[in-house]
Amino acid sequence: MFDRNSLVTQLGWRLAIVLSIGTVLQVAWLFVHFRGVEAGYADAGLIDELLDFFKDVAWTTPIIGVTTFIVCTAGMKRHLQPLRQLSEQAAQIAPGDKHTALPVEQAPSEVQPLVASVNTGFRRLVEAVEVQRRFTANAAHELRTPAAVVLAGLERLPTNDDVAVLRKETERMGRIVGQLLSLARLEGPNGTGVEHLDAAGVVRRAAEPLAHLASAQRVTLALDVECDPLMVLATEEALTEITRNLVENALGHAPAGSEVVITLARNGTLSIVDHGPGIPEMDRGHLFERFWRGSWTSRPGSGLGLAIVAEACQRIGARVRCISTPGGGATFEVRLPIAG
Amino acid sequence: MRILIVEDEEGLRRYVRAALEDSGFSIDEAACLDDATGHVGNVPYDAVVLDLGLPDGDGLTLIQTIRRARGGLPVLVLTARDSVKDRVRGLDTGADDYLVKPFAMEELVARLRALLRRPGQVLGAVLTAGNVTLDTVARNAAVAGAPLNLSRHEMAILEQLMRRQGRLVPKDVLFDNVYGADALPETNTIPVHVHHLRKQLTALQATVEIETHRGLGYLLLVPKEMR
Repeated sequence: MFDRNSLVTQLGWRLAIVLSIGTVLQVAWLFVHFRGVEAGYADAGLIDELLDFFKDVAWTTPIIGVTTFIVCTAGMKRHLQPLRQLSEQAAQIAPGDKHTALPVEQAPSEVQPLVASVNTGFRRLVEAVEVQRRFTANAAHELRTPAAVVLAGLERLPTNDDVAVLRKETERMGRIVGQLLSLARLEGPNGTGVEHLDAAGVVRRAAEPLAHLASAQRVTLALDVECDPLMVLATEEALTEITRNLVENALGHAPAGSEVVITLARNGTLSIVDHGPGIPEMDRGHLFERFWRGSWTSRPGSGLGLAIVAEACQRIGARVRCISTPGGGATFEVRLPIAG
Repeated sequence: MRILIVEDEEGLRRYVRAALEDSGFSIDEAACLDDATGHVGNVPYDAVVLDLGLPDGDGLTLIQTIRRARGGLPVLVLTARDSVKDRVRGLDTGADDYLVKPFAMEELVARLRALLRRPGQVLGAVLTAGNVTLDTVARNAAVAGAPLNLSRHEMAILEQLMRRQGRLVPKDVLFDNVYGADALPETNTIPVHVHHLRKQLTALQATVEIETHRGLGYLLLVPKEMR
């Protein structure tokens, strides 16, 4: 109950000590004063005088003490209230926020320098994160042309096993570069913020260019929309990235001859269903981490696709989870915030 | 067919040129916007392959020049930018297609052919896919020389699928091309036509397949094992 670091407790202790010392000093003074007088009078004098003193004066000391304590602690608590509010605001700051500054004027003047310094620290961190993000974006962007040259050059070489491996890896590198750019873009300053969007249209436009990838591995892609148009709160970029990466992920695991189904339900649930090997329960916690690739998969992947999905979901306040497809396979469900 | 490649990166220009020459195109090169503008003014190209990031300016300005001077000359854009915003900006300015680096040469050739197969372009008159041919002027189609007996709508569907072979033809695009943009959705009998089309193609042992991607559209595939 008593927190030794609390300002209120500290103040209480000090008040108690000061009042105790004051009382002891008063008693001591009386004791010394009456020792001189006592010489000429009866023995009982000193004790009576002390009792009188307690009866007349000293009994008020504890009451004054308790009252002072109550008034001071209540006052302290009230004046410290803004600090609690500041803590709550500080606790809500998340990576990627643009406005991380805490309101300095709200804090008691003694604490204002601390709040100001914390704000400066925050600002430096935000700047550092932004520099890092821009570096990733620029690096990825600059890598695209050399990757294109290497890939094109490899395609000119006569095919053998070595060249085939190099081509595959170069293609993977190209994909990673593109995905790093996507991530950097999603983490970047939010230009427009969420808007009212027709999810059916955005998901369809995102899925259409992927049909030929499905076709190349003899998989068909299907889109079932329960309500068209379906208005949600999102950004086109985020919803496109969510759809594209979840479908690409599903295509990476779907066996030839199977179907990957995208469904968009009236309640804003976007599901991507595949009939591949599925994802073991124990791996589901790591799925959305960057560069994490399941031990169970032998497919070449970058490990970034699902991290992009997680980032895009966070951007628009959507939730994503992975469940099992009845009959085998993985289903990814995204709850999109419905507009209106 | 004569193609102009506008790309400042020497390595990439060289390989794109080699790949396109192997596919039977004749190629001119330009390394900057200035050069390219001159070439486009003087030579009747069939298509332009354009990189957007050029040392002396944005490739999009060349598209505007082309649109003013040569109307429907197909432009295929190569770019390192691929955000939704960039795509929209590129297509708004009049690029006909968009390929993000790095890309497979096979993909570049396929996309370029698809552009040249558009009505009014060099490959637009007689379309081929596998052993299927379709004469868009005479309005007849055949499998290895044996004529297909198609209705007007079936012919229109096959034409659209052949123009974009290997890629999805979205169902609304197909609908607009078959019935016209003003038609009522109730008139949609495309699934029935596709069914007939498939039956005839199979009967004549065509080396193409029509895939249905439910809710998205159709795709004409020339499977590798049938090539």
